[in-house]
Amino acid sequence: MTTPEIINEDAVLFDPIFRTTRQFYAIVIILLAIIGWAVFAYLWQIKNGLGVTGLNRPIYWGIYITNFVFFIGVSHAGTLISAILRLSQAEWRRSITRMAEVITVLVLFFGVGNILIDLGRPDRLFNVIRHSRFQSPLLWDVTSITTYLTASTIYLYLPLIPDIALLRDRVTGWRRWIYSVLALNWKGTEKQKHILEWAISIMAVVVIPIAVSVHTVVSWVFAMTVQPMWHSTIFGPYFVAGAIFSGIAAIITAMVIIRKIYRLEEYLRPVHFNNLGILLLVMTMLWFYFTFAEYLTTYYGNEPFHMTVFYSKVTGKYAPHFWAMVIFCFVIPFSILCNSKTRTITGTFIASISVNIGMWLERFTIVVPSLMNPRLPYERGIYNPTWVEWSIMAGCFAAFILLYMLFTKMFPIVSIWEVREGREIAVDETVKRIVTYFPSEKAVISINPKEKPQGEDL
Amino acid sequence: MIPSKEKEIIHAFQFLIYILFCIFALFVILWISKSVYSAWIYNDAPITATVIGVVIIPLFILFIILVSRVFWALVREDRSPGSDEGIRRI
Repeated sequence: MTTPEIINEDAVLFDPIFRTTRQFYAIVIILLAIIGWAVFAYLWQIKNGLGVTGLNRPIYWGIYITNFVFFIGVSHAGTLISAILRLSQAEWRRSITRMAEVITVLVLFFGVGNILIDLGRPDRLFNVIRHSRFQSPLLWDVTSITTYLTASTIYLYLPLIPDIALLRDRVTGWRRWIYSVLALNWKGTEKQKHILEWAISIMAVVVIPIAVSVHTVVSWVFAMTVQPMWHSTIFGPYFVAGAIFSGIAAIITAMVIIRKIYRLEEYLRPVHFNNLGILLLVMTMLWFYFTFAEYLTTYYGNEPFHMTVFYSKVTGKYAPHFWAMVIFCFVIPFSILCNSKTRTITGTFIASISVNIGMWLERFTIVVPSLMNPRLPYERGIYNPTWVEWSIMAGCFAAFILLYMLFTKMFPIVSIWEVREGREIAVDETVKRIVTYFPSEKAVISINPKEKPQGEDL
Repeated sequence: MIPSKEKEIIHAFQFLIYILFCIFALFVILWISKSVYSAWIYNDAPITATVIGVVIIPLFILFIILVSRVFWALVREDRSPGSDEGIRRI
């Protein structure tokens, strides 16, 4: 099939790249205004120091670190949806992999960015490189996130090459030039296809343990201290489960919005939302299990320092955050997703928004209450985030949405070559694969009593 | 059809991106190696540093090999004689 034929076949996927509506520009202006305000807030913080935030001793981590953990968690969207589904040959993944991979790469930048904002003096970042000491879990984090960002970027770029080549053959001017550079002379020969598939399959295997290690290491930043309700052995798997949970929620949210705006109803069908809804339901229950196990162990142990933090979450100052977290992360998504009648596109969208809010609250209730009630003989702290922190947080979310929108204006948000491959090849391959799951015809005949050879008992 | 001079410029930019990636990956490898060396010299968590180095350094070597293999395979395909034969558009 030639390039024009492919473009005609999947014309709707190219529409966002070649047509820009007034609404798009209006949203861009609004987002730029929010980002501009956040930049002003950050410059204010640089000028006046971290004193303009609600951070103080002993609460030296607040919204910035909450955002860091939240964004790193959301980055698991790409890994789970793309890599795991690719390796397990789940054919329904084909329309949604790219949306997930883009989320991974973009949110990682904002995760790292929040650390820099929290530093107060961003120039001190170079001290991490110049005087690195692996005694500190913070440096483990730097190392694992650098590796994850590199792997995720490669994993996003490789499946993009054939689609960039399609665009290269379609456009003119500066865009053609950029696409020509990025397409790496892709012509779609058998040899090129073979090498690309080889590289993608290797990256799919490699990126999964890297992703798991990243959020495990993020949890160790907390768990390696002896702070009450941080020093827990299940923090690694608890954080990884929470990350996959929020990652799936983020991809569902993105899918619903993109489907609506770019009219991709044919590519993002109810079955995609149903399958992702079931995955989200499983993760909802897993999250609840981990949370229950963590809090029950603390309660039963009745260790005084732990109990102070426990009660500050359950009945104290942070009770509204804690119970809102339980409602948003468990009650709402579980009640919507456990019923197939409500597991619709609208239902999964509401559940995903609920989980996004709930998981942010979960990160907040992990970070702040433990610092507010330290084991060391400090006075109990008070943390009230200021306009600077809220503004920078709003700017981070606005910048993420803006970059995601710009990506959809430069590259197809649905992997065209994978969808086409699914249409042309995967159906036959799937049928052949399913046949291998069951006893062969010969085996069935041999155990059929009617066909049983005389004189033999089964 | 892209003019040959423009094609050369495109190849140069592709090569530049590839080189920048390799420099970044080599920088990470050297940084980790230096940190592991320092950890042993100053007896500052040498086992931890070594374990991290043993995991991270091979990963970045893998990234360099993988990216190089893809880059050269795709770029060379375009330059080799008769490269337009057997093209299967996708």
